[in-house]
Amino acid sequence: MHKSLIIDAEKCTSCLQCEMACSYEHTGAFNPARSRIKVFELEHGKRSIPYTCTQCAEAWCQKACPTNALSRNADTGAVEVANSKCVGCKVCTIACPFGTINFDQNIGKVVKCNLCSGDPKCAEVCPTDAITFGDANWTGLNKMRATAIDTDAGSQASA
Amino acid sequence: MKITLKTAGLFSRYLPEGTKGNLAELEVKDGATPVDVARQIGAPTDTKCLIVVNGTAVPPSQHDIFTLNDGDAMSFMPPLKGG
Amino acid sequence: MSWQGKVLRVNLTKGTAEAEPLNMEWAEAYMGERGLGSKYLWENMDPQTDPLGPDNVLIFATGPLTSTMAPTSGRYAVLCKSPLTGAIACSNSGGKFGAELKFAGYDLLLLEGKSDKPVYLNIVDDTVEILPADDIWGTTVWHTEEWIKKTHNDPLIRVASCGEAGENLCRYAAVVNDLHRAAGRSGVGAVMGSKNLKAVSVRGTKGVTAADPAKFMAAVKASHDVMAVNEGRQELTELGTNSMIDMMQEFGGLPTRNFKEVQFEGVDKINTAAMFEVKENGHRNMVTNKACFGCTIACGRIAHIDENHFSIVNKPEYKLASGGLEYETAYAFGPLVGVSDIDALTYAGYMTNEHGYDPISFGGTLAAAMELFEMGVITKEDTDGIDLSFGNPEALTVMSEKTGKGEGFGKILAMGSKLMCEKYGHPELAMHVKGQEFAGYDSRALQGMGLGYATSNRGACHLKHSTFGEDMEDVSGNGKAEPCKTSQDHVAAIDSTGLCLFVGDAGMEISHFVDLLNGAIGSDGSQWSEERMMETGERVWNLERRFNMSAGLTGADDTLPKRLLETPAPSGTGKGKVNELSKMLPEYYKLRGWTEDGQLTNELIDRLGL
Repeated sequence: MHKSLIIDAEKCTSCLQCEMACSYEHTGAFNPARSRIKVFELEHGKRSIPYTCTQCAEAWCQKACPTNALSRNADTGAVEVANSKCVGCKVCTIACPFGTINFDQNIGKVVKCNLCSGDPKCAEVCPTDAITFGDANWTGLNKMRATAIDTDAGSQASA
Repeated sequence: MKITLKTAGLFSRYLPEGTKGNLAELEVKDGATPVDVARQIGAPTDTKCLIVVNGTAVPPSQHDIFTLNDGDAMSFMPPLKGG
Repeated sequence: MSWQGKVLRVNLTKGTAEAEPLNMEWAEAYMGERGLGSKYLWENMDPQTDPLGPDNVLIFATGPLTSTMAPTSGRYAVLCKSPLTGAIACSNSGGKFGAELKFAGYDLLLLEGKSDKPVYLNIVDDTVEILPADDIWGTTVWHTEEWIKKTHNDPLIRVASCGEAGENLCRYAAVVNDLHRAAGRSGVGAVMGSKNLKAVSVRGTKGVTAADPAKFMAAVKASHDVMAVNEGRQELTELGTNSMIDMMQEFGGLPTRNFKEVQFEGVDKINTAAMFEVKENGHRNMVTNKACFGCTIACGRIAHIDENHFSIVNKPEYKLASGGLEYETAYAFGPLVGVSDIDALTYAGYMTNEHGYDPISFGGTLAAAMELFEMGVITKEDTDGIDLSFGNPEALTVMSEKTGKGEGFGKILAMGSKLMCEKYGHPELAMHVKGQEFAGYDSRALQGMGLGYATSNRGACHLKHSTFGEDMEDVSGNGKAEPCKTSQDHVAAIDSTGLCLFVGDAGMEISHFVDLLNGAIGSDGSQWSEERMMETGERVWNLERRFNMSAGLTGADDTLPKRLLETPAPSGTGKGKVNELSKMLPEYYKLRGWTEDGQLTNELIDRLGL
């Protein structure tokens, strides 16, 4: 069973601990500029939204890659970049509909979320559980549960 | 005996279930101290907590000595912070 | 490491920008941010300089823990000589700007001289440009940030700017970054404005590394873990700093109507319960809470104003949600001026952020003006027709806008309470120390707070010491000097790390700092300890003091207004008491190792290596 990052933007305070944890894991430095997860702050901070690769089952980036540098890790379900094969052509960055694979000028390769090989640091460090790591089949479970509670409250009120 | 207990901040979570707002009447044992009251409602007994009885602050060193009387109004608040 | 090892020196007169190596000897002795910034200020300017002249130096300083994964690592300090006090100004801020400056590769930014026309400084790693600011001069903090991001086509740029209040040299203008975080106090924004520097915009991509990553990450985890379960942290997260207002009300230390009273009848309308209350029309003041960089507390409030409120009926642009009330803004716009209209308070908060000035000094100045109005010293003819009675919400909303824009009576309010009250012949009504207005704690109920106010190196300030515990224990001057001195040194050390003081209210102990520092900057030859932190704090405190003495201040400036020394508190825990400063101050000087008139001795200067 694979796990997915489950993002609940409502809970995000935009502290950017996730961006620091991500960059530290992948570059050895605290450097949000090289984080693979980004938090977008909107409307004077009223909304903040963490966003990263959702590991598409049919990955546009993988299909577009001319050097077969992108492949799925069978253990984690993440699409990963093989630096030995990536030539930095950036075709995948054009193909990805979500903008979550990007070129890193520091290394001349593309980078994307690889779920930290199954132990994502962003989820580990998030202080508000805006980012959690759970059952890939049930990323909607919390939302479903909340809706169920609302629906039940409605039916009880009318009963 | 009965006292009126007023809380501030998150300490309202320690008031008896069903309390609306931050004010509750509480039955306490005769001669209870502020610390006894804190224990009774399951709140911290940290001396940094601010306790005011009938408008006068009870110094931290008196929290477990000062005796309350029937009808007293006790305010029980989290530690002061530099905001 | 955790140092970038570089200072960016910008000379606005010559139009030059050059990076130079960070003086590591000073970094070892003064740590960073407040301490190291003070050292650079001391070494780079004459303390007698006119604060609004070109020779004042303006420093933006980060600390060794800034930009790291340590909790609350977004802090930076702005330092210069203050136009409000004539003393050293050191005002720190959160948000995301400070971290970005360090990511660009600089521990400190040092600005000298004065540009002959409005400019802004744009920093993208090693590329530093001084660019014309004609399109943003005369505009707000909010507009400036939007314009810069749009002009450079980069939404990830972080901006700190001075607003119109800074341009107009409001004595308590702030430097505001990330829309609603501010280096708020002592008029640092006016110094920025006096240099014709509208903004500093930064984009940094260099990253920061720890000297011993494994040790550092273990210390980070320990800090995160202790804060996660701490009740004080939960309180700050859920309720924000304004939960203090109920406690100050109960204690009887809530300065009300220019310190004539110490408890406020309208407190229930502006406290945290009021912020969360859903009104009949469905409006709730509080929207959500937000964090500064790296902060796992997130005490910042995002609020909005009821769209039917008089302040914004014809101003749809203020229907947005933005920075909401914190304790000091709630106090300064509420009890201090007698106003209990939460929407009026929130609106005034928007004004201070948008136009860039300090809410505490503004509230203190408005309160003094209200007392002058009540006495008939000033009338509606002076106040642009506005009824300046205590409690009038319109006085607050209109004057907050006028002060921000430098219009009408707002120009008078922009002088600060000391100069304004002198102008009207009533200096006794100005509630200040060294020209800076008080935070929301009355020093007749909180006696040690009074000593802290009187001796703070930047004038009245609640953030430079902490004697809450001792003040609760005993309402007298007894036993306050020692905790005041010790906590001043402690706070000076924390302020020099790059973290926020609030972590101390959220569970972190000094031992956590020691571990973080050793992981971040420790080396075989240089380990940190509690003792070294406290000694560093003492060094920083005395350097600030030395700056002030060289600027012409004396021990006579370590005082409180007559109202606190001679007029007993009318109610509360301090009822019938005045502040016992005359008892505390000599004891404090002695503990500091200063002379009887408050001067540093050569012996002390040598011992601390100043």
